[in-house]
Amino acid sequence: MPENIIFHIIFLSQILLISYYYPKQVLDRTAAVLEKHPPDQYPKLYPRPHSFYTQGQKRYKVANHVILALGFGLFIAIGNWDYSTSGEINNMIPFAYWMIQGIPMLLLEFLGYSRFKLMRAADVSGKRRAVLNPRRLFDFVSPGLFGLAIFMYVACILFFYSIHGFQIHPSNDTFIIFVSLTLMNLLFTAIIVGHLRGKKRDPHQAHDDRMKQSVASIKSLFIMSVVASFFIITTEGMQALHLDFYRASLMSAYLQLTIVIGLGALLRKIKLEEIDFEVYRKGA
Amino acid sequence: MDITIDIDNSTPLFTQLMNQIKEAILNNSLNPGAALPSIRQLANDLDLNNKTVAKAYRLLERDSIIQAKGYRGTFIHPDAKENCAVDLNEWVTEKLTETITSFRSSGVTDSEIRIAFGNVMHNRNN
Repeated sequence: MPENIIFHIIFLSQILLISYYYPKQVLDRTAAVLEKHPPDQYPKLYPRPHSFYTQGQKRYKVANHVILALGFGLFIAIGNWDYSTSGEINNMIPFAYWMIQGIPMLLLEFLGYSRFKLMRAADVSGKRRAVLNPRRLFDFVSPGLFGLAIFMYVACILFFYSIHGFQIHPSNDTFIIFVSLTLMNLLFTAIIVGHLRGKKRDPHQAHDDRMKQSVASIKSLFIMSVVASFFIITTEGMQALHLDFYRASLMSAYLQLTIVIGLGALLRKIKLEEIDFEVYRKGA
Repeated sequence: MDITIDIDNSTPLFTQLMNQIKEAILNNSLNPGAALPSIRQLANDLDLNNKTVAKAYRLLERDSIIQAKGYRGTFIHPDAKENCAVDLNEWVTEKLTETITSFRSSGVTDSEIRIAFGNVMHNRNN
């Protein structure tokens, strides 16, 4: 079936992009930081012994290799199943695999949190600095993108309402989409408020670096919200047009896009050579 | 415009904050109409209690150095530079010295002044 060939190409891209390309980028970046900014010269950057970071790199690499191998296994299994049955591929397969692919990233995020916590605990300096400029939402995101995110959210709910009506019941599709999309956007809002008003996670981070990180994260969240609404509308539209067999491909493409928009944007926009590492020197 | 708070310094944190905002106004780092961060943002950035920043902002607003414009935020007062030169503590000390001197010259004893001052401060006669 041609739609399954399309799925195979997109799914292969999902396997390679999330379990090979981006992990390699992360590892190359970490290795570059460890090499150019060693713990003896930049002690504030490393609240744990050097070996902890090198071991962490190895574990991250192994975890991604295992998931990559699992992906290839799944890819072959789907191919065999496809040729033997010529059936439709369940769109939950790329989603379930994406969840597994996300485990190393999630662990990395948790390690980041604990690292910043240790950095804050180790920071005994009595001097605290801040910039006397307000951080406002539109300093980080254009009103156009903000408006588009709101428009897409409302459009998505109205689209479902026009097809399924609205009932406060777990079996009503409009209700499910309304609750899930609202919860997702509320989570994004909480993260954005954290960037605008929250405490500094890294106690030593330079103001410009913090701003760059906030701009990249906030923009990504708004784009993700737009893409999520668009994806839901497209999926439902496909069902209405009886194009269900493309749903697995669309799901895989969407999941890859979330990583490109999230992690990809952060790696692209925050260049290592532009980060001020001097703040992590002893006595800085 | 950067602000630095030294928590080991004996000067109260809210006073350090007020003094640095005043200094920034006097050396033109902060101009009239410039927006200031919200209390919560500044408190989180400096890792201080919200009440400390709120107290500094309240006293600066009382002295017409900053002005709160509701949901729009807090801004530097148009007359901030002139008002920065006014030291209310010095003015109070000067006025009290004048008043106490006139009481003494009228024969009022120090203990009578203290009692009367205490009564006025505690609104006992009002």
